[in-house]
Amino acid sequence: MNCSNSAVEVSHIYKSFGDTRAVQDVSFSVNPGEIFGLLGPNGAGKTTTLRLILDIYRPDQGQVCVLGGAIDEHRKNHIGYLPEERGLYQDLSLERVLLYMAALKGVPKSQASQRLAEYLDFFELTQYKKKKVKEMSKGMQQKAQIIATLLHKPDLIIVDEPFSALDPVNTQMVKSLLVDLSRQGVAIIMSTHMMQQIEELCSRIVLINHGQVILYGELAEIRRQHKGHAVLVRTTNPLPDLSGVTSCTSHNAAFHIELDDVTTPQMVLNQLVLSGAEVEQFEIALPALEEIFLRVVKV
Amino acid sequence: MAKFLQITFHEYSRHVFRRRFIFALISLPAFMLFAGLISGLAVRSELSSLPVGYIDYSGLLQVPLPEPFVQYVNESDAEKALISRSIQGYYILESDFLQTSHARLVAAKPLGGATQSQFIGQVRQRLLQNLPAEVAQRLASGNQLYVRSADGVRQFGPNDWPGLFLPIGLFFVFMLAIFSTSGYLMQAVTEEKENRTMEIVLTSVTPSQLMGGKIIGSLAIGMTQLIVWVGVILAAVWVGIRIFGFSGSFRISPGLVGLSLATLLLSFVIIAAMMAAVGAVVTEATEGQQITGPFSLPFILPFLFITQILTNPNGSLAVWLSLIPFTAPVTLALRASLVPLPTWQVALSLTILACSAIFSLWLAGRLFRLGLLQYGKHLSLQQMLGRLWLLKGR
Repeated sequence: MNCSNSAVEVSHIYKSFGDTRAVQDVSFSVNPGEIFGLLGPNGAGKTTTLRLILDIYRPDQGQVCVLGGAIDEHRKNHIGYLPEERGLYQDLSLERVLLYMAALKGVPKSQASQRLAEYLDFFELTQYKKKKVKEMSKGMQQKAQIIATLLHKPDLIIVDEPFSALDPVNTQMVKSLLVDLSRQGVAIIMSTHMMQQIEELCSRIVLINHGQVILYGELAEIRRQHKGHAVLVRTTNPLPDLSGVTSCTSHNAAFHIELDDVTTPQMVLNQLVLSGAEVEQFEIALPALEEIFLRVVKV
Repeated sequence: MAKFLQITFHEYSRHVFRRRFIFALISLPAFMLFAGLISGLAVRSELSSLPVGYIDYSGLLQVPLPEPFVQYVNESDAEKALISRSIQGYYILESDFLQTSHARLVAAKPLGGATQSQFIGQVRQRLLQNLPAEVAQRLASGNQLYVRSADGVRQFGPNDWPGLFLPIGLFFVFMLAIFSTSGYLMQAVTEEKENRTMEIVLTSVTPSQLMGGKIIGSLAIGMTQLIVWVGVILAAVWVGIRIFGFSGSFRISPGLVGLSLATLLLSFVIIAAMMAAVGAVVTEATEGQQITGPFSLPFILPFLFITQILTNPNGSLAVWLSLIPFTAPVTLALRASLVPLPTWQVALSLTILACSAIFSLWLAGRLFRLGLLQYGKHLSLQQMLGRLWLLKGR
């Protein structure tokens, strides 16, 4: 198996369940130290792709490299996984469940206990460590699940909807934690429907629909590729009348100006300068990720 | 290997230290103790603690018998004592007793078996008192017929009847332990699959490690249950013999114990693997229980043919039932307690059981992987079998 230095390298994988093709010719790679976004509508094949990376399923075709090679027991010890639907033993105490999960990742008990105490303190769960998981709120269970994902200090973290059930304070805390971990060199694959979180945290993404890759690459580049024929303008004085404009809408204290087919952004800038408008901001309007998502998924 | 042991220990400790398990563990011995106590009290209420009188016209009992026997000179005194309820009854040894050996008993209701045996023993002792001690002892012990197999390995005597029933009783206890433990296993697999705990665990271990650890953990749970239950039964038997003086011997050959253990342990693996497989493919624990209900039927099938097996332990029906994995444990144990079994039959039966256990584990692994693909979806038997053979890898 030829594997590069990427944290994850997915090459032309296919997976079918009976007559249903869940994943078709999906390829992408994730680098160490990056937060990589995995996007797609419901039923697009995201979870299947994650399970193929995690060796829960095996691909019918293609190959998956994880941390420099085919997944094995040693590499599994360096992966942290937070599934969308939470899975912890409900009738056991929080402490016992988390220590068991760490033990399955090969962490010695003394080390696991020490790290657990730190994480419980960080997530303000220390007082609940003897409580049964089922007695905790959804938000607390989500934090517990995040601890289970991180306790063994993984080099690759795969998180599916990591912010669900978290309040804004805890969401911010988890975001900061993920950014810190990526700065330490940890590769993170984040699957979520929250486009703002992707835009905020991820530099690269892959968008899957009907089991196939629709978009893949640098987020900024994808937005540039999907830019419309529009500019974003902010002036201190009222906006003058401009020719070649099909619509003009207010957008965050600026104006989003749609141009007709023959007008270029340069022509609009010239008109603004000639009219004496005091221009504070002038940029090519890039679509939000959500717009791109809706546009490509609907096609 | 370490992870496999982690899972085994986790499964074991998770169930064994639960209130539900501890309750199930003590409920059987508690029920047996309660039932024993009730029947003991019932018997005791029937037994009288009053002395028993006797009138000896034969001159055999010149030296008075010890308590609870009281000597009367004539029948009218004894009758008065009986009417006034000072005694529960009285024996009369007529003057020609030494010739006829006939004695009469006068009582309002039958005396307890133990009291009668005690009186007969005392009379027998007096009859033999002038003979040499060895001869007297031999005569007192009476005839004892032992049937021995030609190789001398098997023996069946008048007091060996418990040896036949004890394996059957232990088998039922074993089956109870196996099915209750496997039930836990199936429920745990279904729940963990549905609440996605399994998905997380599988990012750390292989499906084989997970299933193997769970099955061996269940085996350990079943063994714990069994050791406690069998320990209580043996303790009850010991108490019965030592304290209450029940007669009967419990000679069971070590070979029979070894054979029963081997067949039952292999059966356990088969049942546990099947239960785990069912747990992996069903969507709810209750659905699994409906499917696994009939699993126990083949194991009790030999009891339907128990007469044929006991009357003809080497007949073709008994031999065939010894070779079929599900019926082998009981049939072999029943036959082995009666006749020596041909070595080839034991070897073949154990080989078939071992192969079936390995096949069950393999099948459980396949079905487990198949079940993983079917979150929340029902799977028909046709789909299951169809995909089972087509399933590549996972």
